[in-house]
Amino acid sequence: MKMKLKFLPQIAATLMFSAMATLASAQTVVLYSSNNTETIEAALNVTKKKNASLNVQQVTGGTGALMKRIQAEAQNPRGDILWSGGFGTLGAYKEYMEPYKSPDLAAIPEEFRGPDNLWVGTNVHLMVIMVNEKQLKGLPVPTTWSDFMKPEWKGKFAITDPSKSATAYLLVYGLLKQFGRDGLEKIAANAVVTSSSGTTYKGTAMGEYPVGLTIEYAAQEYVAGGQKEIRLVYPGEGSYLAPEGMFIVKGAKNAEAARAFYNILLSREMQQELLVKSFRRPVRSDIEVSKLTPLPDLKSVKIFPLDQAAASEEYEQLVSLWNLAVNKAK
Amino acid sequence: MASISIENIIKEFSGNKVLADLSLHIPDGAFYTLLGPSGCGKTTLLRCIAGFYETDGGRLLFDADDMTHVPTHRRDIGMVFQDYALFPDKTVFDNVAYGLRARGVAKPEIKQRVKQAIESVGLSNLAERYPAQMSGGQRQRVALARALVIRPRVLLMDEPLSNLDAKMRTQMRDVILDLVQEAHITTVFVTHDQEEALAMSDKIAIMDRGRIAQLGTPEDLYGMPVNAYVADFIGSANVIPVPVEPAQTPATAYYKLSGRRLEGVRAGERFDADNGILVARPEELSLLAPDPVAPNAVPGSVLRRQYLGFKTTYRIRLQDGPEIRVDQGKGHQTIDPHPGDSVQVLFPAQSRIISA
Amino acid sequence: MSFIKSKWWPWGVLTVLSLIILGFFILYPLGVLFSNSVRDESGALSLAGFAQLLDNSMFLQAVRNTLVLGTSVTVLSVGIGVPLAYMVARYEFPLKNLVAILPVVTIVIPEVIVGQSWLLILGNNGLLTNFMEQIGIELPSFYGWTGLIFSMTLVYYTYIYLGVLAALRGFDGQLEEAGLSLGDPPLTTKLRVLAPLMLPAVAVNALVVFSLVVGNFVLATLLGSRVPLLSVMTYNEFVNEMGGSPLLQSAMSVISITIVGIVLFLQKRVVERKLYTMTPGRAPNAVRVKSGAALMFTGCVGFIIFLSLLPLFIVFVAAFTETSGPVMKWGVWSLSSMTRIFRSAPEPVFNSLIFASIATLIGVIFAVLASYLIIKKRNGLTQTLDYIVVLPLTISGTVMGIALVQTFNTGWLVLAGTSSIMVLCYAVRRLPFAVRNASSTLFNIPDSIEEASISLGVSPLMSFFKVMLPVMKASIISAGILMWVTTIAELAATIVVYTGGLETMPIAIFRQIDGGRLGMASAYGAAMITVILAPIIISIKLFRINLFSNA
Repeated sequence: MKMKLKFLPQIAATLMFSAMATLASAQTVVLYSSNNTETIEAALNVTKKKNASLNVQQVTGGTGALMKRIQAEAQNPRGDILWSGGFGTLGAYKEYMEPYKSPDLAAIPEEFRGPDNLWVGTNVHLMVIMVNEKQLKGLPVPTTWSDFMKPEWKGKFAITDPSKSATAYLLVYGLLKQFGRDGLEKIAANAVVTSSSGTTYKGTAMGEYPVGLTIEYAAQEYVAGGQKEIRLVYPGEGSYLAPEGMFIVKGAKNAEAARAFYNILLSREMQQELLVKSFRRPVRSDIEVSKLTPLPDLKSVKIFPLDQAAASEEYEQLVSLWNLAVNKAK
Repeated sequence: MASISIENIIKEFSGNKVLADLSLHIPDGAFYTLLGPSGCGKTTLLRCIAGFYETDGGRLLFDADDMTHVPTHRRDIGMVFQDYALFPDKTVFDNVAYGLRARGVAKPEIKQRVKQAIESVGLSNLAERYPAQMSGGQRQRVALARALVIRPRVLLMDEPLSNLDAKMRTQMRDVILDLVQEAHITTVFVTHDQEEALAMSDKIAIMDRGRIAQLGTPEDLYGMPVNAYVADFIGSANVIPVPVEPAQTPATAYYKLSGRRLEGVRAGERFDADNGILVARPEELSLLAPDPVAPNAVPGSVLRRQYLGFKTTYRIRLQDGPEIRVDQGKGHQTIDPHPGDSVQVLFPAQSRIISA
Repeated sequence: MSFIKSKWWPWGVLTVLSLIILGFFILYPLGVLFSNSVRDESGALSLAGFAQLLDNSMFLQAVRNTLVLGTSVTVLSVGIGVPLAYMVARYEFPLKNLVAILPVVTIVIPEVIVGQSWLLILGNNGLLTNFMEQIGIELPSFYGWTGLIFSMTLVYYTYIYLGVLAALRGFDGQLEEAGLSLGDPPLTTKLRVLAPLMLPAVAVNALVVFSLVVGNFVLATLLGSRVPLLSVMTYNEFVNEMGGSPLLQSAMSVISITIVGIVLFLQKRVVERKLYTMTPGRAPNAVRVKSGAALMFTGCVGFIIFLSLLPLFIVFVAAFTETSGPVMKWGVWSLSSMTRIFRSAPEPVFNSLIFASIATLIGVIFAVLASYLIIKKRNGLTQTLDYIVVLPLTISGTVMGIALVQTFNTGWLVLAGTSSIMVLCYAVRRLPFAVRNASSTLFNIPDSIEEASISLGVSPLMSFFKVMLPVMKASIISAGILMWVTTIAELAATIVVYTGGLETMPIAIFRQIDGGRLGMASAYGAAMITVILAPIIISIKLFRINLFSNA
């Protein structure tokens, strides 16, 4: 009696899955996604409007975890499309990608396209200075990256360990390219190093750190949520771009549906929706960010250009340089 | 319904010989008891017969069938345990029917045989009860019915009465004997209670450190213990080492005690020693006045007197000798001395001298 | 046929089979872990990993912090657990019966929920923090030592409480009376007679708490962002997005195993030397306390219970609170988080249910078999089985996860990336609990029942099924429920081994918290608590099974 009861959930789940499988027979696409639930939800709502017959099954996890899964399944791919990962991470998994040339590619600037059409940018992160004004306690609002080399900022700002996050990696890479080893070491010596991007922006929003060097969209969410003390500063020396992209998995079982979904994800409607709902800055050049959101247009922000491919090649070197700098400061 | 032959059985536990080259033949239909203190090997022997222990040497036969390596469940035995071992989740009926079901007996027959078995132990109205709802005595009756209903070749009982109170114990003796005799089944009964053994057995095997110290009828063991161990274990006995004169006749022995020369009977097998052991049961001795000096009597003084109603027991210090116990039955008292009084203790000429 | 057969069939064969399975899934991975810790990339023997760690000031600090945290939490847990146990054992006061729910609370409320809900209350944007801020009081940051020590103490004091309570109840009150009769004043008596006798029970449970704190990953990672700790560092080394170093992971794991190993060795020493020297006796009756003191007693106990239960309520409140992205709109109610997890992301819920069910099924079957062999068929081999079965208790979830994934990501049996490895993690980690549960019941079932069945002509194997299993039924069910309930909440090992699509509820909670979505995390938390409580309530109400009698 009891044993039977215990299995009810399992039976229910099994039934549910088989039901999903039957539904799927027409136009299914298996999405591997590292985006948060709200963003995926927004994307799926748009998808439903644009192509009602497309049934998207989602598998979620961190980008690293999903990449490892794609790697493990290479012989028998179960996912069709990955959305999304930093260009650096994508570059390390080229062999698992199916090239595809979307008709929408025309609207995407060259710099946001992967080599040989292996992947395409979906959105682009901007690395910014997230300020919690309440916690500044007399410190001036920082305006440049180099502010953080000053001694008064010691222990007052958070930066994510570059080996734990692709965006943090690009940030540190940018600092190195822009200010050289000396500059990076000075910043490292002053910084509080966190072990995930989330810790940095959450910690800043919650007042643990007066400032966090982090991703624009994450910081903007707190502003949008009504936290008046949160402010975004675009550093005067130039912000860094961390584009994210998607790809179709090599040997995808539902290649055709995957391509349809790929095009939807790249569409203007989709990119606008994700911008409005989740502050994901679009890669398309035909969307005016400042009209739809409080965020500035990309062209009005000063950008310090980085070579994404070179960035991922120097991974080991940079991480050990960073660790050295952090350890030195102790 | 089979004889049991145990031939040179050896059982070791981590190098320790618990059964040392033990042999015993139990004829068909006999009630044999294995008696001894804990650790003597009696339960081990029973479990070897049951097959719960694999033996390290020797053979076990039921009639002519070699059972030495047959697993328990194919030996066709019935077993009754000290803690009853009823299946707590099954009713009395299902407990008793268990063995029949395992044997694939047809349903109507099961019903009829189980009903009869429950009736034979006097529990007809409790067939649907669970073990937890019954008294110890009732549970042991169920266990008995369960063991017998399968009509096993031998019945093995491991201290089945020791968890019961004294009154129930005596009552159950009769229940067991009635059933066993009616079924005419070969029974091996393990106990540490000598009274139980004496009351129930055809023959008793007294066990000592993995061997059989003496095998015999209750009367043999009581009357003719072969050594001090047996004498002391069955009933109580004064066991006194004494110097023995060289044999003059095969039966009579003269020995010295407290300076006097006494006559006794030789018992046991060996007669080569100058030193013997006098075995005298307290109730066989009698007390005499200190004077005049009587034949076969020894002087002593009373240390303690205890009045027990049907008898009076005395502790006596023999002159230049050990302390002994003397029981004087009600109505057979010659004198009734008190502590400090001098007496003579009369040793009957049938007192047994065994070799040391 | 018969000699060999009767000797080895069926139990010998099953023992060997169990040993092979356990060896393969527990010993072998740990062996791989140890060997990985002393091998460089070329595979040659090298102590470079350890050298690198000892050279790393962060790592040394993490070890130091871990030991300091372990000590602080242990001391505080003793400070709360012992007086609480004493009050409950010796005094009668209003609402005392409430303490009966404490053991349930420990098992039922997952650590991840405890950490999360205290963040909701005392975190920098927490309910209480915001409230205090409005009236002008600034609470210290909950992240770091404050939060770690506070929440871990609240999770672990019950271990001390339950252990000491059991000892106090078994304590012979006559000893204390003897002390009094010899002319000692009451307080001196307590110190002289009671304290030395209670000390072993306190010490044993304190060491358990210490080892749990050292292995704790969940609270450490949720609350200790600025305090480097061994378990978090080990995990971080593992989850490096671009691939961490197996050498360092293994070396760190080995060091944490060593710390726990030393603690458990000490514990065993204490147990063997001291614990059973105490003669069980009749505990003195509880004394009814007078009104003023009663109020204080009820207040103390009530407050502790309140703090222990608070996470349950908070999680439900937060699950039904409106959110805007990461920002909680306290006081505004909404179903959006709940509907979102069921409509848009139900996968973790199903994963949890499926993995936990399979793991429980496997775990219970194996636990019944293993404990049967261990208790009823004692010999050298089953003794070994006993040791291996409880081994996972001494290994933190993170380390176990790393060992499993390092072992089963290559070779002929690749489990990494499949649901099997999640189930394996669950089964391996919770097996010791299920075995204990089944063993304690089996221990009380006399051997004779089974022998009776065999003597009646039923083979040993069939006797097991026909006699032992029915007798064990209640305890099998309760072992199953307890295992299911605790696997549902498992995070430390599965967070290491999971890959995309294998998310469970605790992992989802963890990731939502990491992404700053406390509302969503709470919604998963509410779902998880429901799934945990449902079978417990059903079994207690419907089947009248006392789940926690031998837990």
